Amino acid sequence: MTSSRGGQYGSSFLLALALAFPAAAEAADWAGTASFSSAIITLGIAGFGLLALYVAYLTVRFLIGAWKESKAAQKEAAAHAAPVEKKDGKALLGAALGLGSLYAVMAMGILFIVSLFVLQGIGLSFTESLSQVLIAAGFAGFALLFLYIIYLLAAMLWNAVRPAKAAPAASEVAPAAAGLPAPTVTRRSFLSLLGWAWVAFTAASLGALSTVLRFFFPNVTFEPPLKFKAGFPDTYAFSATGMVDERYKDSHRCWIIRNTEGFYVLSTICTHLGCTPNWLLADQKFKCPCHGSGFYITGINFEGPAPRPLPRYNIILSDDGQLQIDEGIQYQYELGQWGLPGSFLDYKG
Amino acid sequence: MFEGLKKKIEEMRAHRPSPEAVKNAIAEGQIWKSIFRHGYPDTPRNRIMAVLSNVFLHLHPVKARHSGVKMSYTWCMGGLSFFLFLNLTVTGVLLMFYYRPTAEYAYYDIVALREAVPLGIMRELHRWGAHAMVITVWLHMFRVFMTGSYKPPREFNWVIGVVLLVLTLLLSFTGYLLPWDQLAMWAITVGTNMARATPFLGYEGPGASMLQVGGVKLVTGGSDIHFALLGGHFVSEATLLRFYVLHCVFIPLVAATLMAVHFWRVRKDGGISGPL
Repeated sequence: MTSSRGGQYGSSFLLALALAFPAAAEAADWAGTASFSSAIITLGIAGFGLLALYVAYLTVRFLIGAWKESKAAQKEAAAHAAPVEKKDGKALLGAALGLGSLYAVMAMGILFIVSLFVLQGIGLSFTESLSQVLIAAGFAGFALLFLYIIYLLAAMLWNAVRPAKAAPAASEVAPAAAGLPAPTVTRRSFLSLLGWAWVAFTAASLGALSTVLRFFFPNVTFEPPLKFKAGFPDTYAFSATGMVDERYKDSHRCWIIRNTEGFYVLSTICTHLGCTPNWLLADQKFKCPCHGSGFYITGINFEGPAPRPLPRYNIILSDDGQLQIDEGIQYQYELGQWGLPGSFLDYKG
Repeated sequence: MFEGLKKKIEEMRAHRPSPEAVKNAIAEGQIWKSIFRHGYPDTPRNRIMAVLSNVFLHLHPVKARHSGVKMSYTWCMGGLSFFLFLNLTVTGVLLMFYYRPTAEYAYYDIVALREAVPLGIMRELHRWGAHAMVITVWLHMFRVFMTGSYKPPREFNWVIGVVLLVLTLLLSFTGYLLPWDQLAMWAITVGTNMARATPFLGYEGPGASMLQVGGVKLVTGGSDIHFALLGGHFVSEATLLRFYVLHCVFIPLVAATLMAVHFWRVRKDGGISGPL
């Protein structure tokens, strides 16, 4: 019940940053591990962030445009000495909207930074809190969108059911003057809206897809832990050539072998295609039933298709006197690692 | 004695409706007309309408070439493959009523399907049908190749056919694990170990070691395609469940959809095989 992925969002966000800034990768301390899937998600969230930045940029540009427009209108008014209130009013409205959006973005930014500090205050690391805030921002965005849709639906419903109060007012207006209302959505703005809707749809689809991808990588696997205590050394029989103990073969996929010099642990996973060989006592060899690979008691391959010896696992004597095996640490013969400390436990009973 | 009754029968016989009238009454009733939008298929137009207005038949060509119905030409391998797919769907759904995809029960449910459930041949039908489908699909591909039926304008349908072939093999492979015996375990262990060597996506594959920044590997034993396929680092109960869902729901749905496209394209690309 191991392999928790805590903190991987954070480290993978750093990774995403590092992809953009190789120098940062050199400088950063890579303490955590990151998986490909969480990197995808982080990149997706970063994409959302970029989109938000782009919207903010558009807002600012719009604001500046509105301001220039209103200036130009004032100039024009001064030049021709004619009232241009309508245009001016429009620009003012635009300015108000733009200012509002800018303030909203700024408020969100402040909220963002404050939450960052708060989360760090309760003991999360910077990367962890950053990723948490980014995720929360994503959720908040979705919630806002949801609320907006509800508002639209409610407005639609209200328009549909409210009494026709405007009808007599309309009849008072002369038909010629009434005409068609000025279109609030023009052909051009509709196409622009369509473009934005398409971008939003694509972003949402990609977000959903990355979430589905992540779904296939559980945070917890119900597999035995890689590091475990294997009992006291004196419970293992030994001989000069070595005795193979199979008590952890089923549960942890390893053989514990004791000879007069000490202990070593062999993986039971055949190096050919991953079946489990059998220990044949009479023949003094491990024999794989799938394709016939054979290994000596040392783990070295001598027959069949297996391309290399069985790897050994780390074994040490823990403080309480028990054997402790860590399958996360492997020693490969062909890499000259069987002489390393931990690949063999010196123990003369 | 039975004068009255005889008279009544005579009367009824005199007034009985003719078979023609009964037929017309049915064929012009609302129920019939709501289902069938055309007359009797006795004119070329109505025959075409009978095909076009039926959701299943409209996937088929309206007219078939003479060569298209010659067994010596088509071997009927495409039709047999589809027949076997239908057969596997029916028997598979029936098996699902008894089979539980858990490490505790899977093997014993398979045994019970043979020993304790009526029609113990059901699982054998499913298994042999699956073997047969793999063979017929290969032979279908061979025939299409030998008759040159992959040539324009049928290139796209060949591509769909190749995808369907892969899906057939994947169905076979995922179904292999479900008996949950030693053969199944180790066959899937060996088969899925190949996924570890997938370029970039498998942690032992070419290019996977390049996907690292500052010493942190992106593709590890816990984040590669092999892990996603098995739901763990080795074949376990999680794998059994994953393969069960893939075998019973996901791959059949994709395959059925592509089959509909495949048949439709046969029609659109000029009918069953033969020169154009």
